[in-house]
Amino acid sequence: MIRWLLRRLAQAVATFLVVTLLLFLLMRVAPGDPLARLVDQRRVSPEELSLLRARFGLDQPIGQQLGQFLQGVSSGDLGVSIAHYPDQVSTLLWTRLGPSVLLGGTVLLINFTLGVWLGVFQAERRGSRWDRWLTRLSLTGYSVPSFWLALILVAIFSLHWHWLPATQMTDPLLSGSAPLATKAIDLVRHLILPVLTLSLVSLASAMRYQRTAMLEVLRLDFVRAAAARGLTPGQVRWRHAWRNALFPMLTLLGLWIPFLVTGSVFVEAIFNWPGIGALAAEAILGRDYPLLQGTAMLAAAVVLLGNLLADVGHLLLDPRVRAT
Amino acid sequence: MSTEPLLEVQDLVKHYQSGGWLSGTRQTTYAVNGVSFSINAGETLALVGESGSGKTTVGRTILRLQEPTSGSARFLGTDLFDMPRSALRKLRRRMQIIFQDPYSTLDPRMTVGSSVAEGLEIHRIVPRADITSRVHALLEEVGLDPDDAKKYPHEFSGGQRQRIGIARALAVEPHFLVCDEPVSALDVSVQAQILNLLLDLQRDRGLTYLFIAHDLAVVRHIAHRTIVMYLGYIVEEGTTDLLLTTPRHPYTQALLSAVPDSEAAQVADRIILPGDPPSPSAIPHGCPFASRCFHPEKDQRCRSERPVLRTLGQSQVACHYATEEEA
Repeated sequence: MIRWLLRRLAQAVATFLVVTLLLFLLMRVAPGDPLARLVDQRRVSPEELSLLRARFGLDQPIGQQLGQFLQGVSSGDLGVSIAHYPDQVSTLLWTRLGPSVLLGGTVLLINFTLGVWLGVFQAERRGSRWDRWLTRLSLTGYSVPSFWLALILVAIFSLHWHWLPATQMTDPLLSGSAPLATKAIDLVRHLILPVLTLSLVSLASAMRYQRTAMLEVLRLDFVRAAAARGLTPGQVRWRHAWRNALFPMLTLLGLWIPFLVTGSVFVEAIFNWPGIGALAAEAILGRDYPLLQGTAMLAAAVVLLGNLLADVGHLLLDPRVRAT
Repeated sequence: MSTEPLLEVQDLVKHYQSGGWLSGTRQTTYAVNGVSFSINAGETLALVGESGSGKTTVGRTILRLQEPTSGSARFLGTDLFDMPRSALRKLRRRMQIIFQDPYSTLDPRMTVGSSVAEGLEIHRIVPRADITSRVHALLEEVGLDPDDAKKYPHEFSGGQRQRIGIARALAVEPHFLVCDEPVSALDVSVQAQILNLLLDLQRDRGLTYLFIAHDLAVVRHIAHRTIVMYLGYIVEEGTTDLLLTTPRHPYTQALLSAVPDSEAAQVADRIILPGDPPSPSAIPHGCPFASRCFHPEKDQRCRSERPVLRTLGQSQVACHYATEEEA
């Protein structure tokens, strides 16, 4: 088991290195110049420009750039942002991590509690009116583009009714010395609309996965045997049926863990949420090579981590996997 | 043996509704159409028929793993179909079920020990401290090693899993066991072992079995009486010996001739029924078997009038033209 884990870990590291290399090359091949925007905004003399190029190392041959880059990565240095000069990319990512995890974590929490519960609820009532309407509603949510839904929700709850704030994570007018409870309420109020947007468009997938997985288990004899032994419907449902219907959810969770960190580019941008998704959007628009590269690498790392965690989860929970 | 049967089923009907609303036509599947029988304590009654005959539905419905459409089932003095679910849960320790598929009968995430122990815990059969030793005793009783309690189902063969399923059912000390084709999925050599185990357990514990099977070969070793079902109807009922030597209903005769080494197969030519049984959602008006019947006297009456079970010698037969002398 330890050997399996080590091998899995080595695979993840190797994949990460390949992704890093590809990202680096892709970024250099892409058209556009990171300093072009700078030149657009104000007059820059050719001397100044070459000085700037030298500062960011853009004048060196690509092999050398790569060498420096990899050296930096190995020591946790992702370079300096161009648009946010002289901030370190790693610092920028770190400060944006909290808000993204808060937003993404809330959404995942909802999907994997409410979504799981609704999926189980549907599976037990397959073909009923409840099942059909929940399917329709969730698929409607699934088909709606998140940026459109975000704007509609803002139009209704912020602009029309003035119930909830439309942007930011906190009220900029709220004084720093306000009581903790007031701050918490303020944060929650800001959280509602982005969370609602992301949950409405993603809840369906958790529900569908759980419904299918549960339907597959419910027709197995051990579930019937549990009922025949005199367990209550709740015990049959959770202790026997659901415990065997959670593996697809584990895989799904592994696939969604990156979402915790990378957030949603569109939704964060619309709500001006200070997360990594919004940062990535900025980096793309500003052709901020180092920042974009850092964001993409972080995303890749978390994707690999999510997969690894799902595998470990399977290993811990499924005796059949443990045996192999 | 008491005069009152352990289980008395009357006019059991189970119809399924499918489709509806968006999916177009509503369809009714007539799985079980008025089945009555009784089982005495300590007896084995076999329920035989091909797939779609409703035999599994009968087994599941009398345990109320499915809700019956109508009918009654008196068990230990109460009507199971009339009982609130909470009261039924208490009574469940008196009736258990063994399933056909050894690969889905056990919870893959539970050790064998906890699967067997669960029933003990729910019904508080033994004090908490004695659970482990009771689990070990049960595993030994079905021919397994007490150390197997720590293992998971995937570590066992099909036959061993059936043994575990039996131990799990026995844990709650039932009087009555529905055996739903418990050996159909096993190798022939293993089948005999499991059947012998069931016979031993019946002798030692005084168990009563409803034994569901799809052919007569398995049944002859284990069942005192046999009921043959076709399309949700009982077509013949009698002692197993009688059914195997002098089958009255053409369908029973056909079933018997399919048993490889039976006398019937040697004496008469093998009977090959033409076609498939009709769909249980479109049962013919007359005799359900008429479309495949080879009886020489088959006529218009068979197509229009449904035969009821009538006594013929010591058997009950649902056929207009079955006679006593012919076999």
